[in-house]
Amino acid sequence: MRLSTCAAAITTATLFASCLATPTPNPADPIARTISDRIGRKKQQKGEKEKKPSTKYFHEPGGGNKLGHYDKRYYHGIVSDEERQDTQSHMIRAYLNFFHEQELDTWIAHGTLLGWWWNGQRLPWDYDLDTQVSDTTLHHLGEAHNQTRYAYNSSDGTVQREYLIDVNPWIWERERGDGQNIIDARWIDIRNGLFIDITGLSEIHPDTHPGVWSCKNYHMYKTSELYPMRETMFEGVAAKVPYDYDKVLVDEYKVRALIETDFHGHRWDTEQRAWVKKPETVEEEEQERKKKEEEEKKKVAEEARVNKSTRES
Amino acid sequence: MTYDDQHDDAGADAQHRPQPRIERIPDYRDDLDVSDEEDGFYARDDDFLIPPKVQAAFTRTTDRIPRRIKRYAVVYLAVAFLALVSWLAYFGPRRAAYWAEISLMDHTPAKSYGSNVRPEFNGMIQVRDMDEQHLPTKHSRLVFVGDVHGCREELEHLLKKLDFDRKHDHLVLTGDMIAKGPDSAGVIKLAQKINASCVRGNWEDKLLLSLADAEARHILQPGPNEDPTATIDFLDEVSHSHGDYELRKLAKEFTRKEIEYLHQCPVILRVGSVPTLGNLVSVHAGLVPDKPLEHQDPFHVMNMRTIDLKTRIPSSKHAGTPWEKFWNHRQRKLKPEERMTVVYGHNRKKGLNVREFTYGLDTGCVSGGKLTALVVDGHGGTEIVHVKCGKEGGYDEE
Repeated sequence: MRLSTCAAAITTATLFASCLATPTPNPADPIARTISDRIGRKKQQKGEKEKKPSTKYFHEPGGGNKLGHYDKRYYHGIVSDEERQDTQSHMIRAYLNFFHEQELDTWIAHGTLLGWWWNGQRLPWDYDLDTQVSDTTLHHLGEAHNQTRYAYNSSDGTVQREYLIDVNPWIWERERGDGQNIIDARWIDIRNGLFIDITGLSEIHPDTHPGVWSCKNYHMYKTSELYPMRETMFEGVAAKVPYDYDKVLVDEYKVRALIETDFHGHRWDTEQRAWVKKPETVEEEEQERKKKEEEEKKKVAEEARVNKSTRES
Repeated sequence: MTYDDQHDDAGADAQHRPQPRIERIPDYRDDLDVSDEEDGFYARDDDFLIPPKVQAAFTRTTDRIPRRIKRYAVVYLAVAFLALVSWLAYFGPRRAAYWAEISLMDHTPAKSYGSNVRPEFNGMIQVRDMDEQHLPTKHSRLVFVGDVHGCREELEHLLKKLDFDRKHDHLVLTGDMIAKGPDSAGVIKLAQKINASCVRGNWEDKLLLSLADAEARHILQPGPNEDPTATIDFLDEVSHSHGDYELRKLAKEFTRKEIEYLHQCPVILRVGSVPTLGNLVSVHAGLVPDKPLEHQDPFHVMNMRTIDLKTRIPSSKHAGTPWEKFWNHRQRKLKPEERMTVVYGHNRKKGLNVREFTYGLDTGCVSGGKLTALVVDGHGGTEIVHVKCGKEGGYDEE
């Protein structure tokens, strides 16, 4: 082999070797030790954090769709579908009346707005109701109306209820923070703990993003989508909705929410102009109810047997 | 010649000498040359790969093609190649898209936008019929003007050019009469004076909503005894300015009477039946085909430009299928008496846009374009009349 070829071959071989030579972890290495130390320390810190008292203000009896929509203080068990619907329809009327009487600004949002879009009513499967307010209104609510109760009389005079306005002390924080207090205030039915979630919108970056309004859960809205608001009717009372309501809905729920007529066990009935439970859903629920009853019967029977046997002995 | 001489000298003893070398060259050397006088010169090279039968058939066919054409074979091939490439890359996909669009327009998707109950808003009239007495007759005309945007002088100029006679002729303003331009209040005054019909545009909508909000907050300055000729004013200037500073500035130009006029402008004006044009309707932006006027979403009627054919959701964006294209396509499928012709504005980018069942009239007067009128006479004849707008570059660029 000629010298030049030889040299080239050796160079290639050495380069290839250096490519392969990736560092392997060596526990004895001093640098590696510090890294593992650091990971250990981080873990420790995490453990400490978990031990720290929670900053959460509003408490629910549990998570998930079933329990996550009750206030812990007023919760006495999951209510029936009928009771929830009745509670919600009076609750939102009371809420809108109160804001109208106090000349405070509020509008309906999220799933509640979607319900309004379909037929001016709540979506029957919705576990909670959502409204929004501007941050100035939110602060006023905190200063003037926090912890006050509102006595409600339905327009036909048959229903009397009482609602608590509970404003989160963390409303001064307008960013998400630790994510424990993204709901700014609640309108709570003190009979069963069901509530309306009230979130405030603020221009969190008026310098870099003027005209962009955000809640603490990072739902963003442009001023031109929200204002000027439109006055409309919701559940039979005057309510406000954002100026460009379609865009707000499509941004949050995608176009499917405006065209899908089969959702959550319900079907859109064009003639009744309402969402109705599908027969399958009704059947399923009926079966579930029967199962529960049977189980309870069994329990009672078993208890009786146990009692009997103890008495006999 | 010395060489020859030498030969001649040597001639004497030639018999004893060997034959000259030149004589030894074989005689058939001439055979190596091919003469163009022979048939073989023109014969095809023997191709042993192709059977002779096929070769013969090939020759028979190619011999029939005139030589003049054969000569340009390469050019033809290139053209054919270009045609193929352009079909594959451009015309083919375009044709496919065209047919896809047609089929989307023809078939209503199983789940599509618009099955909801139309939202109801306070202080907004959805549909109103125009007074029949204003329909064009032998001696009177109906004049539609789009997007005046406060250009009062241009509107006056246009009416003058048309010889508009307020006793006979009737004016319909297709929304966005106000804002951007120099004299919004003047336009409304003029409209009231000549008893013009109007539709609610997105700017009237915004202004009226903003005023309703101010009223609900009690920050509107009450006029002495609610004088209808007093201009609008606000009690406090700074509080609650959600970007509506411009709207308030605009609102102050108007008197209560003029605001009243804006209030009665419907979102959809059912003009009535005109010979040859059929049922005439006027809106500011557009309509969704195959949907009753009462069920049209008012926001979209005042704002749409395109419709997504897959979901049938209208949008104010420019990209997509223009609503008027969809509208015209669907009208052709209807019985003649059910068809509807729409006169609208709002789409300045497209300018004057006249189709069989739609008349788009926004020619951007306020940004230095033209102000356009559609004149309909008693026989259903139509005429488009323009005036140039005063300010070079427009008013809204200030």
